[in-house]
This record gives sequence, C-alpha cells and structure tokens, in this order.
Amino acid sequence: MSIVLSASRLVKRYRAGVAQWGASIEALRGMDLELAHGELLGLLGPNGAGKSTFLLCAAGLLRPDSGTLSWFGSSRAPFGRPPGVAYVPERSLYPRFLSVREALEFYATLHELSGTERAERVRAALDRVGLAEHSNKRVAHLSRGMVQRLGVAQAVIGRPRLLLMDETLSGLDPVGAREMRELLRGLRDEGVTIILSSHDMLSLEHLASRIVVMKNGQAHAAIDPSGFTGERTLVLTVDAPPLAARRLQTRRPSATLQGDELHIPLGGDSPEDVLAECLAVGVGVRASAIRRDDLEQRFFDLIDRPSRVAEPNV
Amino acid sequence: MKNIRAPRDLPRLSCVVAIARIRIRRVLRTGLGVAALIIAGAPWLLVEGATLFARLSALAEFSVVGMTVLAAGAIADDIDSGEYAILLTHGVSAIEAIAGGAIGSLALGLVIVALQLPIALRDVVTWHLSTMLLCMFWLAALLAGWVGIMLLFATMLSGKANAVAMVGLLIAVPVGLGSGLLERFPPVPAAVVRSALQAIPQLNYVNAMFRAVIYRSPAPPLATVVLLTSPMVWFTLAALRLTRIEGAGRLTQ
Repeated sequence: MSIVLSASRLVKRYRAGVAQWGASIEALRGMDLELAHGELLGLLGPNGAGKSTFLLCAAGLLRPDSGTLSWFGSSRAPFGRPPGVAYVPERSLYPRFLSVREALEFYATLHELSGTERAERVRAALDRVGLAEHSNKRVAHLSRGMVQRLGVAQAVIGRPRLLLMDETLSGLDPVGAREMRELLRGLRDEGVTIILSSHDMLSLEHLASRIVVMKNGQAHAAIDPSGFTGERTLVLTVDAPPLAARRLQTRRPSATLQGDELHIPLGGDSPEDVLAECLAVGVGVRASAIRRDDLEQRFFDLIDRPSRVAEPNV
Repeated sequence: MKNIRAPRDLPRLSCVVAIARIRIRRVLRTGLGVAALIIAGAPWLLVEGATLFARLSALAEFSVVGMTVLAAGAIADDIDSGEYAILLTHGVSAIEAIAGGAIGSLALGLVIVALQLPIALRDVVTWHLSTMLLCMFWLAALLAGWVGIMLLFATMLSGKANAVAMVGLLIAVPVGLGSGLLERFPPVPAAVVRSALQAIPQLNYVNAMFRAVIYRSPAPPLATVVLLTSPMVWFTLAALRLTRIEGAGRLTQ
C-alpha cells in the first residue's frame, strides 16, 4: 500500500508575541503519522492539541521547526509546496467580494485549464457541494455551512490526491452534515486520501477508516472505529470490590472487576434492573455510571488518561 | 528520497493576470474605488491655471497617494486574511502572487493617472506630446517602484500597519532628506540613513525628471538611476521575502 503522507517527529513552535518576547508555544511536539492511499483519517483532539497546525504543515503552509514530512514518497524542496494536496480551512479564506461562481472560476484559472474544462469543473464542483443555486451569492454573504461547502468546492477543483480538511463539518445543519459525509465518502471512493479534523465524533465514527487522537502536539493514540459495538456497560463503584464481584458473578457471569470498578454489560437489560440485582446479592453500590462502547467514550478515556508529555511551557 | 521541486520554475502569465484581475475587482467592489475617485478628482480643483510642470507634479503626487490608498492595505490583507495561503494550495508560487499583486496595483495607479491626464494635458500643443509621453514614463517608473516598496512592506507588516507605514514613508522621505535633520546626526549613521532614503523612489525625483524633460535641463543622475532600477530591485526583494515567509504564518499569530 503506497504512503501518501508521512510525518516523522514534527515539531512546530509559534512565537508567543511581543508581550512575551523570546518565548514560544510548542504546537507540535514530535508528531508522527503515516497515511496510506485511500484512507479517510479522522483527527480528533481537544482544542490546542495541534490538529490545525499539523494540517497546515501537511498542506505546506507552515514549515516545521524540525522533523520530516513527505508526500507521495517525496520530501519537498525548502520553499516548494506539495503538489496534489488541497486544503479546506476552518474559516473563510476566500475573496469576500466575489460571488461563489467567480471565486471558483478564479481558483480554476490557477490550474491552467482550458475554458471549457474550467467551466465544466466549476459546474461539477458547484453541483457536488450543493451550491449551484447559491452560485451568484457573494462569499461575504454565505452562512458558515455554505462557506464550508465552498471550501470543499475550491479544494476539489484542482482534483487533489490528498485532501486536508480542518473542522469542515462544523457549522453544518444536520441535513448539510449528512450531505457532507456523503460527499466525503464519494471522494474517498474515487481514491482521494482524506484527513478530516473534526469534533463531530458521530461523523468521524461513521466516516473514518482510522482515527488518530492528538494530545499535546502528538499523536496520542489510534482508534479503529470499526471495532465499536455500541454496547452499554454499567460501571459501579462498590464497597469491597473483590467480594462484590464474586457475589455478582453468581448471577451475572459477564461482570468483571477492573481496578476498583465492577463492569457489567447491560445487554438488553435496564440499568435499574441490574442495580436491583446488585442490591439483592448484597453489593454495596457507592456510585454508578453507564458507558457505551463508542468513539466518544474511547476518546474521553484516552484524553483523561495522564499524558507522558509535560504541559506546554509558554 | 527525491526532492519535489516547487510546482513550476517560471511564473505563469495566466495566474499572474488572474490575481491582478482579482485585485482590481476588490477595488471596484469595495469602498476603495470611491476613495480613489476622490483622490483622482482633487487635482481638477486644485491646479486650475497652473503651469505644465505644476500640473504634472500634482498629478504625480495624487497618483502616488491614490495608489497607496488603493493597494497598500489590500496587498498585506491578502496575506493576513489567508487568501494568499489558499492561492499557494492551488500551486501558485510566491512570485506569481506578488507579480499579480504588483500588476493589479500598477493598473489601478495608471487608471488614476488616466483620470487626471486631461487636466495635465490641457492646452498642451501637439509638439509637446513626446515630452508628455516621457513625463508619463517617469511617472510610471515612480509608481512601479512605489508598488515594489509596498509589496516588500506587505510581507513584513499587517494590512493596516502597511498602509500607515507607506503614508509615513511618503512624509518621512522629504522630511529626512530636506529638513536638515540628518545634519544633526553623527556622520556615519547620517550617511547610512541618507543613502537608504535616497534609494527610495520619491516625488522629488520624478519632479526633477519632469523639470529636465520640460525645460530640457540635464537629468539628475541619482533620480534617473533610482527611478529606473527601483521597480526591479524592490520587487525582487519583496518576492524573495514572500518566498521565505510561511503561507499561513500570519493566520496562526
């Protein structure tokens, strides 16, 4: 399988500004990532984790302070930019005084297309993102969701091989989000490799072939979204956990002791029924919670876990 | 692992023209166009009955100010707003982007000149046309050099700061060179500052060239050299600087 993007020990620092002269903020602190052709990789992480910085580096718009980046098996020249890579920013970075169609025609012109092909690509991009009926609207007058669609349209107009999307699903209404997911699936099916940074876990769970959780400027963990069962588990904090586990396992053999917590798969039962069972066998319950085997739960488990990396120094 | 070169080595004319057109559209569709019209119209009221030299001098002054208003902030705004970053993701090189910005700005400057030209040409007899064309050449050289400086400043300063800096430069050059201020400095720093100020294309130079053309006096060598070379020098410096800055550098500040 060919590697589309490879990042190794990427470090990127920002100057902290005049008020803190000489200080810097480390946005990436040794980011490693390999992306295979055809993947749709989800980037997940709390604000400040370094997702946007990584995407800007991957788009060739920021230069890492150290580490290596290579695209399609080749590293770039010092001031060159990777060809075949398109970037969809989180906010509008398009000429506000142009209409949607004019903006797309402008970007198409930059790819040196013939007049016919340019018109065809603009029409196809407008249709693809559902902006055809808004094509005469000024960019300045677009809603956030429409700006995101325009972002995708300008990115696909050059027929990229790698698409980098920063929070592209944010600001979309439910119908728009579903259409955008369909659009991304379509692009992936056409062989476009995609990195999608998003806080929308449901979409990532449905779309991504792999999810990388970023924390403190590093790839903290990788998650296979196909492994989620969606099953609910009742988690109990109990008195005398080993004894409580033995007692409960007489009724519910699937119950396990994990640390000081009892984990009881609910299956089709209600949590109230299971709690009543616990009380019936003499388990002293101090606290209870329900966990679902899904991305959100896994993400919080990973993020809450103490990191091996120190907090950023400013 | 082989290195990928920058997408193209030579600037593509279609890209440069497209970027220049965008710059002109920006002016036409925003309040900047109105500002330019006011600036272009002012000399019509101010130089009534003046000599040809005075009219040309006013034309040059208002053209430089008008072009500064139109272009100084906008060029830096492209970088600040991220429009430049998106251009890069479409394979545009720094030189193409800066050349497009320069041509667009120059075109706007020439529109301002054209709007003021009737007053400069009033009562000019036919045999003066060659003189006029020569004067226009020197004015175009001044505007091109001024655009080059604007582009260089735009790579270092944000939009508003760039506009303020250019207006400041308009004032600082004649003050620095003509007020005797530098004579109060120690000789070495004074010489350095004087040389730097003299390397800037300025209204004094173009006025000197107008005088030389109209009154057939010898052309001042410094003005000739600076006006002829500065467009290329400043443009090259701006292009080098833009090549070195990060496309999204100002977005993350």
